[in-house]
Amino acid sequence: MMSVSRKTTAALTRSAMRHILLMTIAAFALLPFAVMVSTSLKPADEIFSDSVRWWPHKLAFVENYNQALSTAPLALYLLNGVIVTLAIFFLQVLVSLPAAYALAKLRFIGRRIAFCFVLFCLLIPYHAIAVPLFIMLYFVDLLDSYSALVLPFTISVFGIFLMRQFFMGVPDDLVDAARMDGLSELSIVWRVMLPAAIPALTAFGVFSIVAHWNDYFWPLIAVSSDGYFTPPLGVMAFRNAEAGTNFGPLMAAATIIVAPLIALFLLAQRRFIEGIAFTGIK
Amino acid sequence: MAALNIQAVAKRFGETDVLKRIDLDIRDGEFISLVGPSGCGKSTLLRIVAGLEQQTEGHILLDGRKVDAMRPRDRDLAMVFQSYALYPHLTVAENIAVPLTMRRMSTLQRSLIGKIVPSASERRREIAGEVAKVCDALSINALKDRKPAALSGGQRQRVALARAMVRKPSGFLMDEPLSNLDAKMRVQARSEIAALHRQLDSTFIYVTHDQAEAMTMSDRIAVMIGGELLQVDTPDQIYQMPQDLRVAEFIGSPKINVAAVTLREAGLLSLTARGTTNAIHAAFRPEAARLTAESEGIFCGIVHHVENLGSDLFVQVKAEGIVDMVVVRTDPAGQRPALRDRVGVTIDETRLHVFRADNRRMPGTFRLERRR
Amino acid sequence: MTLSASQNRAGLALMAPAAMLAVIFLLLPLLAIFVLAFTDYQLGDRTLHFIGFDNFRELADEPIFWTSLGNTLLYSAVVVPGSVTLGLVSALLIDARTSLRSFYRTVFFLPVMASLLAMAVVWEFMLHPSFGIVNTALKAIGLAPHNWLKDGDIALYVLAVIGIWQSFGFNMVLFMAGLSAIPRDLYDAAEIDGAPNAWARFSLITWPLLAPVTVFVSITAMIRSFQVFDTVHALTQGGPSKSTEVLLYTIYAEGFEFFRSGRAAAITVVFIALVVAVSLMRFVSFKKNGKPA
Repeated sequence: MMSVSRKTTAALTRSAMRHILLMTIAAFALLPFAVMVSTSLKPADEIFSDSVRWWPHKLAFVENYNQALSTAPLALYLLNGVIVTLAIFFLQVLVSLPAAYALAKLRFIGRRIAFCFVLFCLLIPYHAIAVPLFIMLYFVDLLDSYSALVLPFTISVFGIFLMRQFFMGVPDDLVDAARMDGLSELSIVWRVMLPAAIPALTAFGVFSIVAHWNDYFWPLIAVSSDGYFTPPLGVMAFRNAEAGTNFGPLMAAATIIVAPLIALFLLAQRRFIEGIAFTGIK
Repeated sequence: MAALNIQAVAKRFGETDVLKRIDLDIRDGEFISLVGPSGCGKSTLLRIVAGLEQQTEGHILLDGRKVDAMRPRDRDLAMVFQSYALYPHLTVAENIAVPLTMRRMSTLQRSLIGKIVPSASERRREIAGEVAKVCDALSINALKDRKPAALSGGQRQRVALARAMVRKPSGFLMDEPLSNLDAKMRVQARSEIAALHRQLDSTFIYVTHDQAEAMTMSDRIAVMIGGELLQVDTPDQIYQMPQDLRVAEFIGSPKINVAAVTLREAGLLSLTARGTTNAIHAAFRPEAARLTAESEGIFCGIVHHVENLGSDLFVQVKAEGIVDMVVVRTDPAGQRPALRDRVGVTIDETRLHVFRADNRRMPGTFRLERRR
Repeated sequence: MTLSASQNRAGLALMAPAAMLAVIFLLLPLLAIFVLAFTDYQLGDRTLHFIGFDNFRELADEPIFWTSLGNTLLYSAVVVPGSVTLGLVSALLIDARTSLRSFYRTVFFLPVMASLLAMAVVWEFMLHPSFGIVNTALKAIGLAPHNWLKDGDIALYVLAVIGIWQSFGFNMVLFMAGLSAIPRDLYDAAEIDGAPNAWARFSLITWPLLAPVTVFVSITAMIRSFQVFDTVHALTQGGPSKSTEVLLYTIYAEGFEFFRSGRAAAITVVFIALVVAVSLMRFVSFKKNGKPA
């Protein structure tokens, strides 16, 4: 028994060391969130004092959040975020799924070239083609609209690639059985492949929604009137309007903008992390 | 060389008892098999002996020394894993060298810098020599520079053996080392391992779920079921004098015939339908039974199926009212019963085993009452 | 014959929408970049005027371009090792069958999920010269405070720290997936073979078996680091005195603030070359390891 306890002591020390290190990293990861939430609850005089306090003497929750919501139409920005990300994801699925199915399961002329093109486009970040996209939308007079925010992302080569890889693993027998049952190729996509692809589609959905909810570069270029602002643009607009000194409401605004995705993440964290890992490794 | 004592070792995971106070003494140089169905705790026991897992209670003694607090590397035991666990990025020769480099070279010598330390290159040469010797012994010299992925199952198994042998451990622990081989390779590897044991003269503890492996290779067999050690004996004793109904049922292929019986008077048993709880059971192996004319059998039944293995003919007889099916071994050269024939079955009563309701063997001699 | 003909038709039909959109929103813009780079096009012009390599010649002569390229590479040289190492260390620490495993994983992943722009605004507040928490903490332990984002010598490194903060959780998740693919048996074998300590196990098994994942994660991290923009635009606008000017920010300024599309396209060509070169490294490294992506 003595020997067993000796082994346990060593294990305990190791485990304690591990937790100390992990807690340090966790503090680094959490610090900005803690500062954000804590400041959003503080009245101005406490923010400008030079002592570190996490919980305010006098709670200014109502004042700060009220001011944040009344100074800028944050709810509208959030709604824009929802509209834009969902529209993008919906259209991406509508376009990518048939293409991915064709690339995975149908023999057609140009399939190889099409797949090589997909692989090639995977290398190009969208930032690289922002200039011509902008000029194009300028000439068709679509800048500063929901279309400007959504249209360029309706085609996702990454989505096509990801779903194609997934469909490659779906047995041919399943497709042949559906054909025997008299389904058309298009209805095979929606009635056979789509249900089979839910895990991959979820992963892609997480990837797409997180990317476009948080995207700043393209909305910054594509829209200028604040009726179309997405959440990140909203935070910037708020900061610039407040000249960056009214920190209580600013942090309240940041909290409001960050909260929805974080809440979603905390609710379904395994799905999110697996989705990102899955799309990350491809 | 090592003698090994397992003293009252128990292992619990939460509420479940994986091992229930196991006592087992293994002699120096012995080949002992731990055999049992999957989940019986045999692999856990092996991992406790190796030091990969900590027992909840009890002690492990190596040559009389308690090693409970000793790490695996200090126990001087080698292990061959079911998956072989070869390092996939190292060549065969590098794989076999690992136990030596880990023990004889310092962290610095093993590192990249170690390549330029003169003492390290001397060590490396000495290790390479020992690796070559082991490769010769197992005739895997030609494979030395290959990666494990480029080897067949049988070759991998040899490399795993070589890695275990190279540091001349005092004992070998083998965790189902043949279960990933095809049937033909397995028979060949069986005799090779047995030969290796004779030659190395060191202690082997061999875990398997395959009773044929245990029967063919071991000095002694330890049968484990449900975390308990039911019987430890020579293969002959295990087969001919099972001390527990579950041992009798686990060892032998085809399976031993079991029928529920009631004890009439001193030593006289009568067959009853199986399934009655708290019943006494009689068991007899297929070779202890013989087909007779319908009128001469202890009981009779209908021939349900005939299995011809070439050397033996196994006849399945459906004996109404007693057991589901009785298997009788006959000589293929002799007379063959036809399907649906009515036949009688007699049993060599000297080879009849009787077990109490708690599954333990009931001593004594028994006769079977003829069933009319 | 008829089957393959009908499959061909179906395949083309199903590809058609994607192909059409890909041409409009990917292929044409990509070609346009390489055309615009050789023009002096400004937004609104109705005609193209080709000027050969003038854009590139001008860029080569301008220190600002080289500063921008240099800053991008320097940023990358800090963020990639930083976030990959921190990601790997976190994954290894968590993987050792730690309790609170999912707590740590969630916490480390939070910065990946949160809008970087919003969090950049929070960082700006934390780094505030007079009442930011960073300077307050430094003062409390007797160190000199800094004006973090207004000091040209350190501003880029400050952005790099934010970059590491934001991305190490992503790398950690990829490493955790890689670690879970290493068979546990190997660690048992190493234990039996006499690996004396955690370092020996790491160098014998974890590091070599994780090598393809490490290469992949590093390259992904590098490509992502080339795309740094949000923090620069929100916090420093490339300053002070161009010390945080990075490629994507220069492209943005040229293309969308000064509307000099031709010059922006020329810088974009350099940006694309950089990204593609690093991506191709990945294919090369996979070929060498004999393992597909």
